[in-house]
Amino acid sequence: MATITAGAATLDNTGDDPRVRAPLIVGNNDYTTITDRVCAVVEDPKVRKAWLIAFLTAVSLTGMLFALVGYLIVTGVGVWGNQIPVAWGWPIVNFVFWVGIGHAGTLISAILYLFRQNWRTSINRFAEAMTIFAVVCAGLFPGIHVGRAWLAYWLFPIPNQMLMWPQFRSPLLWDVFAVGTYASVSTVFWYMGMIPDLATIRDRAKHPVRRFVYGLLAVGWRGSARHWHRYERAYLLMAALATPLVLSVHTIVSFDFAVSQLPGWHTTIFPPYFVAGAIFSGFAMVVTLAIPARAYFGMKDIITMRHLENMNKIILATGMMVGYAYAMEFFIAWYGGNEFEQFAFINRATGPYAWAYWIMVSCNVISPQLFWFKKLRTSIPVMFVLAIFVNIGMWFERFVITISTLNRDFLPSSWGYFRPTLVDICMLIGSFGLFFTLFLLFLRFLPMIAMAEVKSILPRPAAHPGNDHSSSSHTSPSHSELH
Amino acid sequence: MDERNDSPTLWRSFEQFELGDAAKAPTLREFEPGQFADGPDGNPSFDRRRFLQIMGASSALAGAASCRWKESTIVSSANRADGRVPGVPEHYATHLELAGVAQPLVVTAYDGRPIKVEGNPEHPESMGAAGLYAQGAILEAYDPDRAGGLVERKGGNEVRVSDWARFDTELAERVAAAEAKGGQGLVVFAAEASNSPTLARFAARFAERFPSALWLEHDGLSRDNERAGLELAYGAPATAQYQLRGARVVVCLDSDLLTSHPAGVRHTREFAARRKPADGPMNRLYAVEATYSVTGTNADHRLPLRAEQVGPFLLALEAKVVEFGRMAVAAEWGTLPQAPTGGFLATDKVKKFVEALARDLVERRGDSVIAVGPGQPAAVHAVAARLNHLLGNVGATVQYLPAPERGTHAENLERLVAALDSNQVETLLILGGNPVYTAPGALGLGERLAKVPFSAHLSNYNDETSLRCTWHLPKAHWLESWADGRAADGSFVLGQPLMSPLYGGRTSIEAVAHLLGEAMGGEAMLRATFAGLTGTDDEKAWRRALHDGFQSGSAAAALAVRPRSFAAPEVAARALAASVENGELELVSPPDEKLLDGRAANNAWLQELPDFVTKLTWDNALLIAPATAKAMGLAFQDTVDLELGGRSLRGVAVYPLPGHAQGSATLVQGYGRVNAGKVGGALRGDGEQIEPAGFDVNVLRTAASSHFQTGLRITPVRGTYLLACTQEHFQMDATGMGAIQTRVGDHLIREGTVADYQAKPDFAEYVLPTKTFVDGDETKTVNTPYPPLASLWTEHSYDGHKWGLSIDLSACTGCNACVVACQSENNIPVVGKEAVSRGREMHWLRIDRYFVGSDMDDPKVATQPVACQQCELAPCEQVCPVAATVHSDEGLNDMVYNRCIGTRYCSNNCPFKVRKFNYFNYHKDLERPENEVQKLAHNPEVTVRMRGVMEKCTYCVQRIQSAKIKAGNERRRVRDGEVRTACQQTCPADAIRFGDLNDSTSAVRAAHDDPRAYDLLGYLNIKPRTAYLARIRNPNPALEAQGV
Repeated sequence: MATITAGAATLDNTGDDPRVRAPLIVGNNDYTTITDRVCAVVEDPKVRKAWLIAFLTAVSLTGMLFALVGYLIVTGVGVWGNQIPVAWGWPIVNFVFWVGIGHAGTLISAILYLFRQNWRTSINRFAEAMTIFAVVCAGLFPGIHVGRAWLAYWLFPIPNQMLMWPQFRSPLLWDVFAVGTYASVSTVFWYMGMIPDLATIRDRAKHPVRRFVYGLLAVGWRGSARHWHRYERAYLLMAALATPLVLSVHTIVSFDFAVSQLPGWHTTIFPPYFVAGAIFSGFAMVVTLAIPARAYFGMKDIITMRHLENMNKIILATGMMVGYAYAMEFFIAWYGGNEFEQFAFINRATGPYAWAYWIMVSCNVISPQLFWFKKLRTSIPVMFVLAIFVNIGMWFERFVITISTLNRDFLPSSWGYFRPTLVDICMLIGSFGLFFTLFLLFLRFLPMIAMAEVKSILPRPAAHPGNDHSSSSHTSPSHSELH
Repeated sequence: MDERNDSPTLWRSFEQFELGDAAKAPTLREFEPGQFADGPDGNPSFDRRRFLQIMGASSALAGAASCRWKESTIVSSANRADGRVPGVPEHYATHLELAGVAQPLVVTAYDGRPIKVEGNPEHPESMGAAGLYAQGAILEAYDPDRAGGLVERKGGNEVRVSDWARFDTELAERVAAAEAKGGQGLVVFAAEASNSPTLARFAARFAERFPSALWLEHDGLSRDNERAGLELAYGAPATAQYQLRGARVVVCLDSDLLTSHPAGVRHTREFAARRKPADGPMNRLYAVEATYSVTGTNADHRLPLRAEQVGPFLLALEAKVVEFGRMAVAAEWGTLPQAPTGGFLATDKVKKFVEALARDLVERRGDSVIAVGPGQPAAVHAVAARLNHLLGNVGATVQYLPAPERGTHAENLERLVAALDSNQVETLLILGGNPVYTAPGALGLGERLAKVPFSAHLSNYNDETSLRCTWHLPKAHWLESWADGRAADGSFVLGQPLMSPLYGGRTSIEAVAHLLGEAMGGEAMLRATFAGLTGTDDEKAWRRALHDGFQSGSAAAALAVRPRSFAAPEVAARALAASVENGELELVSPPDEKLLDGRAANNAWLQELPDFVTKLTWDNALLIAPATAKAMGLAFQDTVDLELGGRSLRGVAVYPLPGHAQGSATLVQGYGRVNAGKVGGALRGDGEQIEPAGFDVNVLRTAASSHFQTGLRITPVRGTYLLACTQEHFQMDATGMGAIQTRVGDHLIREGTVADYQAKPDFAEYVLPTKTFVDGDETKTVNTPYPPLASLWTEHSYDGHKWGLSIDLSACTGCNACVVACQSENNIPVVGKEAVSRGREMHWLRIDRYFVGSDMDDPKVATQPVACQQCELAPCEQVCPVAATVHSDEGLNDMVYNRCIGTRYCSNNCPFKVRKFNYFNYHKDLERPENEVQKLAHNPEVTVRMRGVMEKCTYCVQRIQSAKIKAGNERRRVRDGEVRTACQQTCPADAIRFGDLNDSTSAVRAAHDDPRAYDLLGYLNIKPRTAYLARIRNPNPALEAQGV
């Protein structure tokens, strides 16, 4: 590849030449342009047509979702295809799928932060937003999945007149804690990281209402050195706190399966396998969202091809881990000598749900292999299609784990074939509607890129004479230690 | 009321509305003394005139009460009877008459409403067990479709008539007119066979008064071929009675001795008693049949043959028996016919089967039973009687009981049709049954009935037959009836009502008594019969018989029979052919095991009960051999058109059934009813249209006397038909089939032969390979492929009771009686066909059925009842996040419905999948006013579960509790056998034991310690409390060696 020189007007920063440090932000960007470009999306007085169409579609799908939730609660969970033996159906598949999606954001903002991966700054904000919205979608399903949704609060250890506590041996209870902690920490982390940027928007706001609202959200941020100092410390601490959660939440979600004794669920490989899968699907979702967003909002300089390529590399790596886990499951089933477990896996690959298994393998293991080729992993159409494939594949992974395990367990007499209902399908679609509603609102009203952090990795302003960065004084890159 | 009429139509306030004009001066009114209507002076606020008005009206109305048909109460709830405690169940002995044979029963009632039917433990024909139909009767009694009173049909309109008076008057006029002509034109068609001495008494009176009238008895479940066959063989009508307890070899030829036979309950008990290898030599069961019967699934050797081949098979068998036994045939029999040869009889398999069976029979002379099913022609029954006679079984294992003289049921039906054709019928009374539906379509009974000027159908439901009559008369359900009858052993059985007729019905006896103008109370009529039979009108004796439900010592004496020569059954060349073409296929159409001849079609429990072999609910289907299906390119749920003798039935669903005879197709009776009710199907008028459940085979039938006919053509048509099965093996891929074959034998249903048992009684414990491992210094061998398992948690200790259950698979026949008992006892809802097809059936107890072996044409069948195993280390308990399923200190895995939020995790983690989830509110229908009556069927001791909660078998914890309370009051421990679970109580095979495992003398302890006992999926270390006793088969070594 061509050698890239810093500050060059080229958009290609994907060079692998170790002698040259590839720039993380391309184009003739400086502090001002960054601020202007990111804030322009939020400050645009006009509603752009494409955004509006997307938003209205998403909102109507959300409406459908909540109408169906109402119908479900009034009628009973039988409106889904769940049955005996497949007592957990699509709702749990969707839950695990969305929780998995919700891994990339915190991973990017916390783990990559601790590992000093500066390229994270361009994508961490909206990846985190995606995380939170995915967790919102995920959180919906277990709540309505129970037969008596109005009593779902019994899952929480609330002191009560019955002197009843939840049953602490149940992984479902651990799940409540794990997802609850993850959701709250992620939200705080996301919001806290956004405060300097919110202050920037507040300062640029002309309308008093905007000024008031963003002012409220910016909680009095003035950008003083003391503020920055405390912010940096707190951010580091939060990152350290969030890091184990990234690993714990899906580990515990995997316990829902691994702690039970069903052949096909009862495996020790589940925690690492689930975490790898979650990161895999999370990055795929970030890529899926980043490609249209950077094109539509003109962020190609900030979310550069190098960012996308890096994510594709992670997809390739985690895809291989997932593939390894698939293979290892079969090996252990054979090596363990338990005929029920052997059958569970043979049944996955050759039984009535073989089609789902092979969709999963093709999407998750075979298709990411294309990313070995630089040409392919830097091609926007290829990576977009592949990322969607991975999303599909990861949904099917959960489908395979949940349904093709349950449908044939110990007693052949109770084997059954699960068929989803229209409600199942519409609720899955509706959950995407909810996700995109929240995500589109986020894109429009909150800074989608962490301006302050991106500035910290820009070359020093001195290298760009003529820049007037007075307008972004509150977000001056004081955390120079990142350079 | 007067005040209300004065109320203004426009009003400002409640006071104004109430007070009417007076409200115009509210202040005035307010202080009127009248406001103290029931005030301090206690005087009512109306004046003298009003007082007299009300007095007058009250007396007039009091008088009007006596205008009603006089009701008599046995036990009035107005004054509590001595010893009656509200909420404490009472048990009454009564009976149900099925195909002319009384089934002795005991019914449990709470506060005057029957809720559970069980067998009469005192009667030898029941011994506490009851069949499916009898148990399902609870739901039938409260069926809202029975409501509606009398219905008169005039010019196509239905008019509801509130009382019997007008009908009685009209009937009396017509009867009087007929009497003048000696009864000409008067016909009583008793469409349910009855052995009731009281009814017989009235029938005799009827014949006396109306010499030219007709009294014809018929039944959809007729067993008259046997009666006619015995008449051929012995010259007198008789019924056969089998003593299976003594039989070493039982041969069932197209015969379901164990279930659909009227004495099936006793047969099962006697048969099962000899399936326990520790209790002496086992019997050996051979079955020859086209389609599976419960008996066939239990056979040690089963030969699938077309039904038409059963006759030739029997003749061939007889010849072999005579040959091998070198028997001298008594002269009375005449010369035995030449046995047929060739065709299917020449095939290797049949030949070996016949020879081995003949040798076995010869060896066990006087120790065997040969039974032929009711669908076979009379001549085949006669041959079987002769063979039983030749083998010396008569008087030992086979007895003949006298049967009353009458035309056969099939003849009677033809006589009715002939009478209708010649327009001789002016007044027709049909007692019970549903002949328009059950009669073969070829007879065209429906159209003919419509021509009768005055016809009345006394029936539980306003059904197909009622629709063709000018009157529908509500029949009192047997739970509402005084009735008598004779059990299979001929003993005199009494039935008493558990409640007044809910819908104002009359019994058959009452209807005839009214026709004769000799009606009196139901009890009085029975008592008169009783006095006639016993020669005494002793109150004490009557009370005793009523209490017991039967007159002890009244069993019929065996008939002394004298053989005679008879013509051999004809053997058509076609019957001998080993294979037949489409168009010449055989249609087998026996009554269904659940719905019988369709009389239970509106019973949701029975509709949803999985068939014993197909596991099909809510439908029948055309059962064909897999080879036949393959040849025609048919698969499960494909549809076909059937054509037979010019009549056709369209769009019938196909079910390839392993083990079905090739060249034969089965479609059972009882389905496709177009006017059964809201459950079974109702396509009439402009009301709610309910699709019939299944297909009506009667359309294709020609003869009432036969359950099979030939000449069937099957034409595949496009489209599929959803069949709701609770087990889906037939459409299984190779992966699944392979797993079933290894799994069933190794883990689930462990079985062996008598030889295996004798070699190693505890062979069941050693099915899996053993494992040797080193523990510390010593080397141990365990009989699982795993080292000893340890629990993660501290295990429970059980100091008091330790409840346990055992199921002897060797005894269990898979008859389904326990499933219905459980449903009735535990208020288990019915979910409907769509939900069953989604796998949401609610049965707490199910019977798993597996086909064993690789031969699709002749597999073995293995059945296994599975309910909650009450694991000591229950996987469900570990995973429930809200502690809704917890362990009791007596070892029960308790389900706390109130606490359950419905995560369904417990079901996922249950290796037996015995937990059932309320996906919807399955009792919603009961909230509709017309269905409220069905709530009366609920057992008040058991919670009715709401939507969103999990439920499962509790070991009938309510029965445990009531026994414990009783024992506690008497300051003693619960005795062994005191708690009987519902499934155990009704099990005709006596395969279930329940009790305290801590009691070293209990039956269940003994069963758990039996060498045959094994745990289901014990390797999971769940420690199930239900033990299974391995099934022992007793194959004929000669056949076993040949691999037949």
